[in-house]
Amino acid sequence: MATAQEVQQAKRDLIESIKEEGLDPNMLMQLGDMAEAVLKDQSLYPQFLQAVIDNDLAEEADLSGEIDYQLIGFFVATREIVKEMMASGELGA
Amino acid sequence: MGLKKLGKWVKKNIKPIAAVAAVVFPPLIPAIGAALVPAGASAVVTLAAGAAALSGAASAVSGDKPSDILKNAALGGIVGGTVATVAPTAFDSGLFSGSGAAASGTAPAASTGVTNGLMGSTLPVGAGAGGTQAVAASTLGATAAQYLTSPAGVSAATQVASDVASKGLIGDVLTKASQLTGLSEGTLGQLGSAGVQALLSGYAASKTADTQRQAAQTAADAQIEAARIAAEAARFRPVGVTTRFGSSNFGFDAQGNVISAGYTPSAEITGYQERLKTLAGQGMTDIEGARAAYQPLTGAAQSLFSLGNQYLAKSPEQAAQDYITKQQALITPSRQTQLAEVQNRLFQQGRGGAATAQGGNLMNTNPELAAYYNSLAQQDLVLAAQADEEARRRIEFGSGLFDTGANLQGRYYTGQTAAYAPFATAMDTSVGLENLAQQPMTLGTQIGAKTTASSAEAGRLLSSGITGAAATMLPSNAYSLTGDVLGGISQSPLVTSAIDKAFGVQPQQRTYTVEELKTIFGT
Repeated sequence: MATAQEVQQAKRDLIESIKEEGLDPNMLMQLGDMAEAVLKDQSLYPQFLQAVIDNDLAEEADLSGEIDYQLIGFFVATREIVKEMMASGELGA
Repeated sequence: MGLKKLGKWVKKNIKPIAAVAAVVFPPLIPAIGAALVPAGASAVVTLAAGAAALSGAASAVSGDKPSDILKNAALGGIVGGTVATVAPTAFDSGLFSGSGAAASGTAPAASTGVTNGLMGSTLPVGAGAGGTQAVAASTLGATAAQYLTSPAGVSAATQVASDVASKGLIGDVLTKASQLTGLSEGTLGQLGSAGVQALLSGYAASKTADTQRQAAQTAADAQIEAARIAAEAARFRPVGVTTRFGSSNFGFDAQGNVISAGYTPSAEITGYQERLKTLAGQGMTDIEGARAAYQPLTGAAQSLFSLGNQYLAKSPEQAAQDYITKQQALITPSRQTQLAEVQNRLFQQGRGGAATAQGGNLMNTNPELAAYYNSLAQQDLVLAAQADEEARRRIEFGSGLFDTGANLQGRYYTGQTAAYAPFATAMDTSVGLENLAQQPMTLGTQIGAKTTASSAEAGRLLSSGITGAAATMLPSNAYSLTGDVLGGISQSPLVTSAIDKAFGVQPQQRTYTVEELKTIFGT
């Protein structure tokens, strides 16, 4: 289990990279919502992958095989971090 | 099914964020687990499946048996190279079916774990999932969780955590994990140290989230109570006041809110006001009659304006000429009489035709007649001078008539305005009396505002104290000893090492490859 310091460091690194890449926080929150929706309805996974590609976060999707839950978890957690940072003002909308 | 070529940003962040995802968003592991395992599976199995899938090691497909998910997790590396002996049937026990039936598979009974372990004596002997008693795994997990969140459980967990950190009591750790998760020690051994860590991490995250949620709720409740107290203290409470001139009346609802405010004038005030009301009525009548009363001024003013116009209509020359004409008309008869008298006297004296020289180029003339006509000429000169002066006076008089007319017209208006004075005086006096009667309500409001301000300040201080206390207690309340102990245990090198030892895993022991494990599992 990650320590509080490790979690904070991971958050800081993520926000830093979002700023470096100039990514839209709202887009990331939307992808997080879509990822969470996939957990309730797996048939939405292809649309989620397409959204990730459409936002230039990946180049190609393999629509055969299994759901990548790490990817799902990553976007859900990213949404939470972005939401927290936007609320605190560390990340602009 | 996934992304074949991740973008640079995703590739850089996915593993670090996935590693902390369970902490960042505690419901994530249960949600992933729920997406993977069938409904009715135990919470432990759901957590394990979610943790395994989030780790990225498990290749999980919805509908897979939980045992397959965990098996995949082991194969994919969650158990990693440290797993030495994972039996192909390790995940096929009844435990994972969620049926609640006691496991009868390969896991050994944890018959002594309760009496010697963390749980003390509150749990039934042999309550481990691998035990022989028919205790449902899910029920056991809930009971254990309930115990661990109790004061006795927390105290025991603290003590054991301290022992683990200092002594590395492996047997107790295994017993605790078995009691907590509902898995037998044997099954835990087959999961391996990393698998146990995944279980403990997932459970710890869940317990920490629960505690934080409860702490947040407690803090929120405290703030609501503080706000309620502050609002109650700040509620406006006017004071009833009675003076010689009146008394205040405030109405309140059932909650103590002011819903009406008024005052009652004294009999003295109302008596005066009644009399003034009569005077005011008379004053109003005067106002209504003032216009007609002053109307003649308007007609007089118009007449003066008209007369003035007549005086000013003539030029100064015309006015002078008119004056001369009028004056000559007056003196002509007397002149004619004087001439006749002179002529008669000359005739009587016989000098009617006599004429004498006057010298120079002047004609010869009769001296009496010369004197007479010279006198007329002199009078005409004087008359002409008087005519100019008279013309100026007429112009001044004409314009004076306009001034007088304008004054009269002005009095027409000022008279009407002045007619309002009796009415206004009566009304002003009545208003003054009303203000006197109103004073009790004003005083009651002012006194109430001051006392309310004091109460509000007291309420605010109390509220801020409660809120501050809630904020002070929040970290303490949010601290999940169970979660942190479990999290710490799962991360402890001592525990990891001890578990490895308990399972016969030695650092120098052979490391299996994925292909070898697949062969063992027959997949």
